[in-house]
Amino acid sequence: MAPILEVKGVDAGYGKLQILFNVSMEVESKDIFVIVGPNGSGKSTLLKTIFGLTRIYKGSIRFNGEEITGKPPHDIAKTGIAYLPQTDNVFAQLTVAENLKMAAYTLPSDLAEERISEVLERFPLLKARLKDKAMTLSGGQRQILAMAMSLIRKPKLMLFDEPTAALAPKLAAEILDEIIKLRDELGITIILVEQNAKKALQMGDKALLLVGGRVMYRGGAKELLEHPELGALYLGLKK
Amino acid sequence: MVLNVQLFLDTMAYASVLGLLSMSLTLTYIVSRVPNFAHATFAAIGSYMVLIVVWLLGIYKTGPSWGVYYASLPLSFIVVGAVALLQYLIVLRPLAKKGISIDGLMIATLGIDIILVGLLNISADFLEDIFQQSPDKDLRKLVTYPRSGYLSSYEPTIMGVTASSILGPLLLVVSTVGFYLFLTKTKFGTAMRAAIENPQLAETLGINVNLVYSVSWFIAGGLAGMAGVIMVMTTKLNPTMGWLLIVSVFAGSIVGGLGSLFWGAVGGLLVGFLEQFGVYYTQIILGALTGETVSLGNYRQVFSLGAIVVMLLVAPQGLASLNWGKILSRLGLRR
Ligand SMILES: Nc1ncnc2c1ncn2[C@@H]1O[C@H](COP(=O)(O)OP(=O)(O)OP(=O)(O)O)[C@@H](O)[C@H]1O
Ligand SMILES: [Mg+2]
Repeated sequence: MAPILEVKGVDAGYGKLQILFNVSMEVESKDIFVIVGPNGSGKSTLLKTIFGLTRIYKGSIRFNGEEITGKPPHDIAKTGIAYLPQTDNVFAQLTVAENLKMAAYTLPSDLAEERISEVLERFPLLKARLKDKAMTLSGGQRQILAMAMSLIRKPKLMLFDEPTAALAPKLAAEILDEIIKLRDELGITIILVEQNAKKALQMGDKALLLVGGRVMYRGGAKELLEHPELGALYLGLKK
Repeated sequence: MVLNVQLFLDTMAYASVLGLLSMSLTLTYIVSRVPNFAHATFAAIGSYMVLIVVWLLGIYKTGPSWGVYYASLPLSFIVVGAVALLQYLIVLRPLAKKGISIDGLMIATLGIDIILVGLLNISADFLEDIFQQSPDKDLRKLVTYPRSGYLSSYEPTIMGVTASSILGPLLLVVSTVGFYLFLTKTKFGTAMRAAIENPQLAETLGINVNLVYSVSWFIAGGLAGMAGVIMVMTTKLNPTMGWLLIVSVFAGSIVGGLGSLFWGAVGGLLVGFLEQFGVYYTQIILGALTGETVSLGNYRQVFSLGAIVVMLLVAPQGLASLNWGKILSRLGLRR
């Protein structure tokens, strides 16, 4: 089966500052694909690049067989990719209800309402907070809201950038469980950037190790976890 | 005389104009983060649109008529809105995309201002020939070099009160409330708030941020244009009038905190009152001290500059940042 996302020989960065060097990856449909690497190695930049938020100098990105290289983010959003940024992934000044409405911005209004009530069924804690500004939510609730927002357009592929950063361990585990459920129950393909490499590699199918903007490893997630050197060298995993 | 009714009415008109301008300036600021030095000249274009309407309707041959204002308000909104939109699309956005700093963009708005003043002078040149046939001395004076004067002869009255004193506050209230409803009750208005807070996230959700920003600039220009129509009745007109007025407009926005449209409007209103009454009472006091007639109208900006200084010292984030609940209860106005 053809991969749902195919990144080929991509050089990308910000303005003239190149961050990614010849990055290639293939993501199979309904996989959880994990991206790990040290701080500043370009993990967020890779997700942003897939979503059209950086400058691509070379290479190509195909989603579902369709070329999306160089498309603006609002067009890429329409092809069925959702991106949850590492920070500022909800509108703090808007209410929960308004945030959800904005997530359904491109949908006709009856469909929008239907989808909003669907995600509220999935995440009932948001129902009680509809009229509150998003800035009054706790960190975990914000991640849930961000997740709910990206689910509204029924994406086929979701890009998560450190969804558990700054969360208490118990909450972090809950968020990761939700992500696994998205794949298992809704059949959504997941690309996950995670600080907690061990946890992420355990739940992942395939993995990519990024160091200094270059691919150091690409293959099975469990294999990376058990790799004799890479894990200890770059991910702080014990041998 | 301690309370001068006509002064109060004149001030209502002038302060409303400032309220509209400070509010719309704040809008362009929170969208693009650039202090737009051409903003007061936007209002001057709105004022000159009134002269264009006087010409187009042929009223200069016969004399004053209410039709001038009916036609000018929507026309100024559209024309000046378009000018502001072009400034954003042709100059500010491409420069910002190239990574030009805020300072650079600010200088660009000064350049635009000079160009716009030039265009106003060209329009006045054009109208000069036409208005020579007019019996109205004020009208001829307005377009004949040095082009400075009032168009007050065209100002109608409503129940004995000058129209601008009623139309100005009315326009300010209607636009503030209307804009508030637009921002909170409509989908596009909500998208506008979303795109202003976090453009990148808005873009990822499929909101066309560039369209949102363009509409914001258009509306801001349009409001400034309508303020210009009211200004015709209250202020001495001249193509370069924006150069002095911009000080008061910025003062209003800064007093409001440069972050909230509502407080921008309030700031403009306050600065307007401060200038008018400041000038009036200082004149009385100095007059009593010196025994001569003192005229300080040309120094009104001293009061707005003073307001900027005081505000930056006392509450740099402006009126919007103050804890009003606490202040009201301290004053015994709320429990
Ligand atoms: N908007 C930007 N403009 C310029 N350089 C940037 C920008 N964002 C990130 N960088 C640089 O790109 C490099 C990679 O950053 P990136 O955020 O992709 O790393 P990361 O792997 O996600 O790190 P972390 O684990 O800290 O999130 C860093 O050197 C960073 O300074
Ligand atoms: Mg990152």
